[in-house]
Parts: sequence; C-alpha cells; structure tokens
Amino acid sequence: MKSQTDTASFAYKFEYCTKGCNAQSILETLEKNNFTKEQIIEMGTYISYHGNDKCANKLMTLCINKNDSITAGNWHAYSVQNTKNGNYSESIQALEKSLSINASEMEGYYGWVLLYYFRDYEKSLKHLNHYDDLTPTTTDAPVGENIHFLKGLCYYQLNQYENSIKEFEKNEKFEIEKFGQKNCNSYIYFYIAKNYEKMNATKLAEKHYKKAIKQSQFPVEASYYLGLFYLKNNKTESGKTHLQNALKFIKMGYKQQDIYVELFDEVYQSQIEETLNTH
Amino acid sequence: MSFSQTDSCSFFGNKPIFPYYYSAPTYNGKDFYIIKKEFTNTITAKTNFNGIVTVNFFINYLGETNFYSTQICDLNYQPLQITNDIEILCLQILQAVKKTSPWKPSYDENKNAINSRKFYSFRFNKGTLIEILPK
Repeated sequence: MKSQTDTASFAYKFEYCTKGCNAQSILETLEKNNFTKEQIIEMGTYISYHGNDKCANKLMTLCINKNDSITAGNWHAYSVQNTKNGNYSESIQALEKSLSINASEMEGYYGWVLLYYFRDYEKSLKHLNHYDDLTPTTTDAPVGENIHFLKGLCYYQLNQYENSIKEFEKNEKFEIEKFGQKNCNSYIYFYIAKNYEKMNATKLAEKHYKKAIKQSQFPVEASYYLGLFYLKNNKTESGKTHLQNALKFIKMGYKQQDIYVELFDEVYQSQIEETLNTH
Repeated sequence: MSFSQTDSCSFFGNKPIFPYYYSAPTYNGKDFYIIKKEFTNTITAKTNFNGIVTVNFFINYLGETNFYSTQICDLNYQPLQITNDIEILCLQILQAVKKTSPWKPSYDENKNAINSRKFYSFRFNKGTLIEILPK
C-alpha cells in the first residue's frame, strides 16, 4: 500500500490545472504501476478531494467496471468524497450498491450519513432501525455514535417527541451503566429537554436543560436554549444570565461543531449576540 | 464538477485546490448563522419544488470566486434538469450564493494562501426551504 503522502502527490499530477484529465489514461498509468483497485479508487478520491469530481468519478467507475470482485467497501469509498462534495445522486447510488452487497457492514453508516449529510430523517430512521434489529442484543454505534442517540435525533426532527425521548433514555441508561453518570453525554439531556419543550412540558424541559448544563463544563447549547426558554416564559433575567453564559463559553472557543457539516441545533456567536441585543 | 484546463490555470495560480473543510475559507468574517439568514431572505421564489439544489464554486488564493455550477436532484436523489417552474428559484439561489463573494482566502500550514472549493445545498419540501448545508 502506498502511503497517503505518495498517493496525494501522485494525485496532484492529475489535477486539471497542471494537466488535463483523461480518466482512461490515468487508469492505464496506474495499472501499469501495479496499483490495486483499492489504490485506484483511493486515487479517484484524492482527485475528487482536489476538486475534479468528474474525472475522479470516471476513473473510479472505469476501475469498478473492470473488476468482478467489487466489495461493499469499494462502493463505500466511491461514495465518501461524493458525499463530502455534495454530489448527492452519485453518493446515494454508490451507497445503495454497497448496501446491496453487505447490508450488515454498511447499514449503520448509511443511516448515519443520511442523518447528518442528507438530513433525510425518514430514510435514515428506516436504515438505523433495520441495522439495530440485526443485532438485538448489542448496542450499535455507527461511526462511533450510539444508535439510540442517532434514532433520537431522527425522531426529534420528525416531530415524534415521545419516541425521541425513549431513544435518548435508552442511550442514557447505556451510558450510565457503561461509563457512569458523571461521564454521560450531556447532549442526551439537552435533547430530552428540547423534546419536552416541543411538547410544552415546561417543568420537564427546564429540569433536563439544567441537567445538561450540570453535566457539561462548557454547556453552550444548553445555556443558549435554556436562555431562550426562559425568555419565552417571561423570565427575562434568568434568560439573559444563561445567554451571557453561552456567549462566554462560545467566546472561549467551546461549542459543538464538525468540520464537514453543521450539527443539529448548532449555536453561533452572532446568534447569541442577536438574541441578547433584542432583549 | 469540471472545467477546461485553459480557463482554470490562471485563476488558481497553478496551485492545488482544497475542499472547504481543509481550509475553512471565511465569508467576510460572517458565520453560518448570518449566511443562512441572508440566503433565506434572498431565496423567496414560490414553487412546489421537492428536491435539493446544490451550488458549487471555487475560491482562489486571492479570495476571488468563479466556476459556479448548479446541480439539482429530487428527494430520491435522482438528477433533475432546471425546468421552467424552478428556473427563478435556481436563479435566486445562484445569485444568493454569488453574493457571498468576495471571500477571505485560506492559508496552509506554511501560511501560503490556497485555493478552496465550497458548496451550498438547499433542500426543499413542497417549495419550502427546510435545510441549508453543509456549513
């Protein structure tokens, strides 16, 4: 296997700004150099990473079409950069193919990516539920996230608040048993609070926002949304106090974020300042 | 996403291009909350569109933008063409994304300004804008 640096340098040579892209000739060059199909797909990924999706997808498709032993992982690799680049049609087609080859390996990831990158909550939930059902005695964690948390987010986005709370409570039970109360993910309480707030169960919403704040050292999101909750419920001073806390934490650089995609209920400094300025 | 060698080389200064998440270019210092507000204020066309409109573009090492392209798919992720009923919507989206220019270029670890690639996707359900991604 060539190192990432070698592959990246090689990919630079095929960028359209230093050389026109001819996927067929790139494929021939790589084959002459005894690149495996995984390495060729990896090369396609790098070409796409550096901006030339059309060339990259053509290269990967030519490679895949020449092989009769394509794995779920190969189609998954094809999908990843297309997902990151917003090529939804290309990505979904590849993911569906990977799923048809090995559902048990791919379905958790598929559900996860449908949730975060496609915001397709119904489809995500369908696949997460199916994946969860495949292993009824274990708690799955697609891409490292507890499946009940992911399902809770889906139900929340689909306005099915009671189902969402049930999933977050399953996640809470698992975390407390495995890691102890003090290490339980504070966002579980945050989302239980959000659900109760949507259900107009104000006491329970407030209680869980406070739990989320207590559970985290720098609770930007819980402080912001509890601040909004108080403002909505005419507790202006409490509201402002929590908003000021959120602003303090965010200025210190603490907030939930991801390099690829906006997270659910992500909070921004300008958003907090705007809320404070209007109250 | 593709364009010819001749029109891209000078724009990119013969340097490589990196995705937005490598380089995190910024739009005049504005965060995504403000960008989303600007988009939703600009994109007002009334349609019954169900699908996703994605605008890709490039930001060069000088912060200039170019090579905008629009992709559309339905909510089953099947590619679509721009039809009369969504032409104004697509135009508004493209104009809204173009209005984000100029950007501040990103820098690599050696503090050299680099080229970046960026996109915004707009997900519609029955004509209502329900999501703007990625960030």
